[in-house]
Amino acid sequence: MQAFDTQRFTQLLAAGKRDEAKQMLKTVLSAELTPAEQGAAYHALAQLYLRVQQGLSEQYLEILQELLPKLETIDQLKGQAQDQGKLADVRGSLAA
Amino acid sequence: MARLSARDLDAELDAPQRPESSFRIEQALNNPEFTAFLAQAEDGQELIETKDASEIERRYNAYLLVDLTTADIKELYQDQIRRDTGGEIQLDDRAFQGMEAHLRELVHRRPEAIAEFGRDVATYRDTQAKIDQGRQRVEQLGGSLIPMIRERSQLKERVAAAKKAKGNFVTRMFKRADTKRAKDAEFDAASRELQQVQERMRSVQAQRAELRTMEGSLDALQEKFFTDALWADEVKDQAQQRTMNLLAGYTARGDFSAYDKAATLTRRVQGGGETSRIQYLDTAHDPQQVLEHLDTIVAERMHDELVVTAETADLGSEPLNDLRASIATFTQAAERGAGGRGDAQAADRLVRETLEEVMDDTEDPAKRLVLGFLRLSVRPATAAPAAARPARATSASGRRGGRAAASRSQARPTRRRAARRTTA
Repeated sequence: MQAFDTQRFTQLLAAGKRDEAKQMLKTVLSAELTPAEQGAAYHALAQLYLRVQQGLSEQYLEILQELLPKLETIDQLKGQAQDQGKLADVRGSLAA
Repeated sequence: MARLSARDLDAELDAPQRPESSFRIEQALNNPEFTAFLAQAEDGQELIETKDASEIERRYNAYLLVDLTTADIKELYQDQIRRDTGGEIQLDDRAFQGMEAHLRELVHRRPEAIAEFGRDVATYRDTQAKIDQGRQRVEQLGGSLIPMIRERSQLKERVAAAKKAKGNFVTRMFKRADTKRAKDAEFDAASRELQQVQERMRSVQAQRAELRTMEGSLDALQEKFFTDALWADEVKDQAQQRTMNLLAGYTARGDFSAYDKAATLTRRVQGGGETSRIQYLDTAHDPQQVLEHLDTIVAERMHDELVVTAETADLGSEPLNDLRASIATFTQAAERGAGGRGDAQAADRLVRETLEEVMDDTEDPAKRLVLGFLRLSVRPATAAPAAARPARATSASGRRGGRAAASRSQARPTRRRAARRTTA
């Protein structure tokens, strides 16, 4: 991309020469991007992808981390209930 | 006691914190590849001659990360991004070479940006690993219950679809008899299957309940939580899909209308208070409600991140940066009415029209992206509502919203500063 004359652009706008300013902007924007500038765009896109996905993943993980301890507790309680049941069965059979 | 001004505070927060550095300048300058690379920079020779250890260290550390970062980005594009966009975003070797060239330029302009990207990648991978672990644990704990819940959920969807296809009284009047019969049969079959699965689940639970009364109620509770976990899975997949649709839109079609939609949604969301967290469990598992909610969430997040990315991205060479700065300066001045240069809307319009005209004429996705990011700097009105967003300290997106707001308040913020401000 060719050099952009910031000062001239601002002067044109200040003087109300809207069409000239627009043409100047258009010329600069229409120029081919260098490979590094293209790379910069793809780098920015990758960063955007990572951050948005990260945000969504964090929220999902929050839910998962909220649920897992509850599921672990239920698992433990079920194990205890099963053990107590088995114990009751043994006691019952001994009493009989 | 003298108080620090805001500028002093910023300078203090931005000051590099390296009390003990193990860096040896000779180590860097004895690396012929690095010295040749450094010499290419505008100030390279001067740095080598003055042996500015602090600056050389910054660049050397970033230089060492270039290959790794290029490989990270390449992997991201070739794996996740290509897969998630259904092949809409695919880059060739030329694009990756351009990316490497950009990173090498970045070493001289903003070396810390390279490590920052590396941290983003590491955090992302770490979160994915935690998610994988959590999912595995859910599957382990779920045993045979999870496949049954999945089956039931799929059958419910089939019943709903069949019911829809069956139609109501009016639509059925206009359907052919054989079509009606086929739809009825489909609906009946799905309903029967659903009933069978539910009976199987009930019988499993009933047997257990007979055996152990307490265990029965635990089963019910367990099932609820497993259903929630599977539901969260589905919602996450949907959210990812919707995000990728927006991203693919930016590159493949140059469709920046999604950005405007995001800005509108963000403003609308502000009125409703806390809505940023994906409320998987508060939507009564209604897919339609969730999808509507997700559109808002994804668009809002995309808006936040687009603004941050546009403000912090090093989009290419100096002329491009000059252009961005110039556009920003002009639109801000016009908004204040400085120098009698007309109103803000006219200023915005001039730049936006020009950008849109050029965007219409270009087919190169990278160029459309650059123009799109430039366009973001022409829309100060869209940044304002997010900056005024209420604090959301407890949710993940709240933390990120805080970062976005902090970022918008500065020309080039650092994450550290934003994080410290949020904490403060």
